[in-house]
Amino acid sequence: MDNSEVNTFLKISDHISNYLKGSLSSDDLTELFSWVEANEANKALFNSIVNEKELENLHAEFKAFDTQSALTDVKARLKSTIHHTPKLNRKWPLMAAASILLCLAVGLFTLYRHDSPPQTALNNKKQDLVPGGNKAILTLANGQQVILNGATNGKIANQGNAAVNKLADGLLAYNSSSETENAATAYNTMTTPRGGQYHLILADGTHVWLNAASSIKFPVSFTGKDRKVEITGEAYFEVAHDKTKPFIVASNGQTVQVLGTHFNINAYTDEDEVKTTLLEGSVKIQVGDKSFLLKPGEQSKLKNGAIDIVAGDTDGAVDWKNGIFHFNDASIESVMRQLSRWYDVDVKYEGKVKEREFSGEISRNVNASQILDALSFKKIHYAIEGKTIIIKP
Amino acid sequence: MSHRSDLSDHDLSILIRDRDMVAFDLIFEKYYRPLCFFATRIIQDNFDAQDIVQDTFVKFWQKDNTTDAITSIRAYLYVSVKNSCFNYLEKNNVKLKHQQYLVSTDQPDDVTVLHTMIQAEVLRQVFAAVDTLPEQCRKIILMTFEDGKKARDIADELGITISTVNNQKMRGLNLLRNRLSDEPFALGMLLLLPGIINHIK
Repeated sequence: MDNSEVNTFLKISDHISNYLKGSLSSDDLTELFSWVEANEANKALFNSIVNEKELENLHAEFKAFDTQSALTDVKARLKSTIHHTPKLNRKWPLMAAASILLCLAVGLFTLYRHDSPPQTALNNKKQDLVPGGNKAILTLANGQQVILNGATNGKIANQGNAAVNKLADGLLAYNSSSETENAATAYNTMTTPRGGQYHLILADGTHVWLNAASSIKFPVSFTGKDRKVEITGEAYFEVAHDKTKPFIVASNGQTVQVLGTHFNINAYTDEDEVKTTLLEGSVKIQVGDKSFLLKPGEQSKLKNGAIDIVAGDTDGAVDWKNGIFHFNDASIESVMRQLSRWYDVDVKYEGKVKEREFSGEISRNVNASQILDALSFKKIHYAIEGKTIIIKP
Repeated sequence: MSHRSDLSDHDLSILIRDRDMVAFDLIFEKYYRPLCFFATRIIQDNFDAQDIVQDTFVKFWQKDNTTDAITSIRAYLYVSVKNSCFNYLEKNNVKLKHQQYLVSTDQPDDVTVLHTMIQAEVLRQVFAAVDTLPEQCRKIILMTFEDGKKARDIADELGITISTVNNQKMRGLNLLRNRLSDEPFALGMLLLLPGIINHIK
């Protein structure tokens, strides 16, 4: 579809418009009709456009687009790009290209994986790092530790009046038989190592997905007036609704209070901010003596005791749970921190690595080299030595 | 209605070269809807289509229009939106293939794209003409034509009599016809009018 072709068709659209308005010259009318008669597709299009009923239907679709509010949005974006250095403008197509490349890479890797599973890659001379999986350590009330991996399912322990069952690979559930316990609440802790993740169902029916290098401390049954848990690292919650018992999540510098809702907290201490992203319902975030309400689609960022609330990328925030790395204008350091947690590796930087931003999505089920190869499209070079990734300029 | 909308694309392309923000607004107001309609038909997603069109306008403004003179704003915008839509489909198809549960949308062929562009442009031009009518006439024409409302309902809604509605309607249609047909060749209106007149009855 080249420009001259586009101009030819635009001219036809002018002819049809003028024909409908009754202002078409006879020369143009001749031209229009020879175009209409040229083939069946043209004829069908012309007949559908000059059909008043169909034009009416199309117009309903047409007028649903809100020009003024879109113009306001676009002008806000123009202002913000004008304030920035022109560097941003030049980076724009690069970022777009990188995200397309990353996405393409995902497709290629998925295809590639069908032929050669990670094991084959390990046998190759080239060193590689296999992705993480369902691994966690459960610390019971008496301090005993249970390693959760492998395929054996069934009852793990009794804690207070709750039975702890491993329902499937990567899924642990607490079932409370009664809620009449008077004794002090017993706490368990689930910890994921680097390269681990786990799905936990608490005694109240709340679902928690724990990302790599994270932990959650929780009561084995909820007998108090509230439901309080503590986390480190990153967790996604789908809280069971219970108006009488607020659910409270304490993490690095903040507490989040909810009744029943879906949200993600990213509170890794090596990230420079604690991010809380709300997908459904509402949550109250308490920092010191200040509190903030989040609405669905919003994300709060806690940095040095100060909260900033922005419109969040909710899908991006929970993609990890669905097995996808989601990078949104992420720095190389931010990308590598995520890889470090999932592939259980350390990262070293050699020389000065240029500042670049990465956007895109890629599966968490591929070997590390496949992601690193995708990054090399942006002139990032790397080497894998044992459990260390070395990034070179 | 303002006279600003009387500026031709040629006038606007000269103004936009001088980084005239008003010209940008006018181009946006003129082409946003048809481009959204066009993009939606290609990618089958109403919301993402609007994002693509907004991105295109941002790029259009950021483009160095001084050296790379845009001979046709209209062709540039349609081609840019079409390219972004195809990139979107390519990207999305890879992602969907990866997720393996959704049906992907194929890239339409060039003729389908060009025909969609014609539809978008005809809609823009025909309904831009309606917008130049006096306020009450325009309102009544739109209620009749777009919403398919009967004269009685319009009269109730606007708090006027049915005969006023019918008078305004005839006046609006006459104005529309006079405004649009500088040439004596009023063939098209004959096609459109029976439909509209059916509503009036």
